[in-house]
Amino acid sequence: MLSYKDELKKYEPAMLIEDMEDSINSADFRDIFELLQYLVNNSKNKEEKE
Amino acid sequence: MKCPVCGYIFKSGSACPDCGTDIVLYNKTRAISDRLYNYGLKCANERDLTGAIESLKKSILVNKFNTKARNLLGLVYFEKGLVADALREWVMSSNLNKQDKTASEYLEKLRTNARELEKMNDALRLYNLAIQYMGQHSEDLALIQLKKAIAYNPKLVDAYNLAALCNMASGNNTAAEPFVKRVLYLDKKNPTALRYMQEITPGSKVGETVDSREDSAAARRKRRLSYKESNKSIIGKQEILLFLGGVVCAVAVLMALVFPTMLESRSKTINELKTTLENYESYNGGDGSASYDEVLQENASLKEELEKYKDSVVLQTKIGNVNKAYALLANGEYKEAALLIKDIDISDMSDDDIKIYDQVREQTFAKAAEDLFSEGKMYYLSGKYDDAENTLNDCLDLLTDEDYTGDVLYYLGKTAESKGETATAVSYYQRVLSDYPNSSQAANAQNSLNSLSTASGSANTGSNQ
Repeated sequence: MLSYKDELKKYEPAMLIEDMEDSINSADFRDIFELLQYLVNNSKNKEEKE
Repeated sequence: MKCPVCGYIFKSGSACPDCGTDIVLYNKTRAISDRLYNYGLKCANERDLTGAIESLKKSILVNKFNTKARNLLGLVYFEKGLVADALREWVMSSNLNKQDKTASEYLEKLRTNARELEKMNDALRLYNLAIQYMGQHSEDLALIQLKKAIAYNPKLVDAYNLAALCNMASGNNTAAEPFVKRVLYLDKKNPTALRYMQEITPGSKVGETVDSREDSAAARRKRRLSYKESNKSIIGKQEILLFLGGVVCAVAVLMALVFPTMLESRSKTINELKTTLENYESYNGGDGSASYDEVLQENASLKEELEKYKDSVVLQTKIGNVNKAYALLANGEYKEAALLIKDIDISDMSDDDIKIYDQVREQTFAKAAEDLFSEGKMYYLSGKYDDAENTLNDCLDLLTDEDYTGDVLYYLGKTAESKGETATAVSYYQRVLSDYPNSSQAANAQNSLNSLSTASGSANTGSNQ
């Protein structure tokens, strides 16, 4: 049986065109490759220091 | 080996000596991203928009420079009615890879259809408003907003889902069903819609029904193909024989049914014509001559009738003139009254009309004759010989025993003499001398006659000489 309240919570307001600019700025994220690269570089630096 | 990031060429090692990029890691992440993109593309082709979005989002998460995945994600968002999300992906794609023109083309198309874009954005606004209404338990208002949103953008999948939920919350599962079906048409494996469908029709396998639609279409195609193939095999001797048999049957039916009917109708027409001819001959008396005589007889009777009508018209005219003359007499216009009736033939008139005629005649003719004689003499003396001739002739018609008839004849002779009509003049003079020897103008008539004779004699002598 569906719960109306729970079901309704799944619906989020859709993004409007006027809100798109903020969305683009916040989307300047690091992708997985960059994260992995960062992690690899960090671990290498640590090893070098040690 | 060439670094895919900075382009530096190096001989060995897993990392670029120039920029430090881990080549192995780079290649692996690119491969994963591409694989996710391929899966997303497959889902999009199968119209599994939700699956495509999930996969393409992951693809971008692994490699944010995968513009193909980003462009496709934008397209899938657009197909789901989420136009702002689509724009965001295309804007980012065009910024990340300037060489890829796909995103720019999409943006350009939207820019040229700004009105449509605005409508889609309004649809999203109404959808957001409906969510608010539903939070306030105003399902009816929410449903109105959702219907408007769907009217603005019929591809807004979330609006259909929310409308279905709205109806289901009101306990109206029947009304919710079309919305759910619409969602499953637009986005085949939409999990929300599938769940709702399960709720509305327990035990139904929606995914299968959607697939079964394809299966049935495929089956139809198969059947069509098999029918065509079977048709190919049928064409042969048997078919030709059947066709010939059909032709023979058709001819037989034609001979048995159609021709007798045609013959019957023709014989009927002939009989009708014969009957008409017989009637015509009986009317003509067999050879047609009687008809001609009858026509002549009829023509004669019609002419007779016409003459009667003509006589009747003439008689009526005469009676009318007599009555008119009577009226003129009453007004003292004697001359006009007399001239009107002087030529009337009274033989066919009734006694009453003749009485009137006689009355007018007695009272007008003498007086009118005197007036006309005076008038005619004046015309002669003034040299108006034609008027004098006409007036004196009218006068002569009205005279009966008046003693100035010789005078009238004398002036008619003078008028004729003046007009150069010598023979006429001589005849008038001779009438004066023979019929009215006691007339006052008898001596003048003799003199005129003598002078005319002398003139003619001298003229004859002159001509003889």
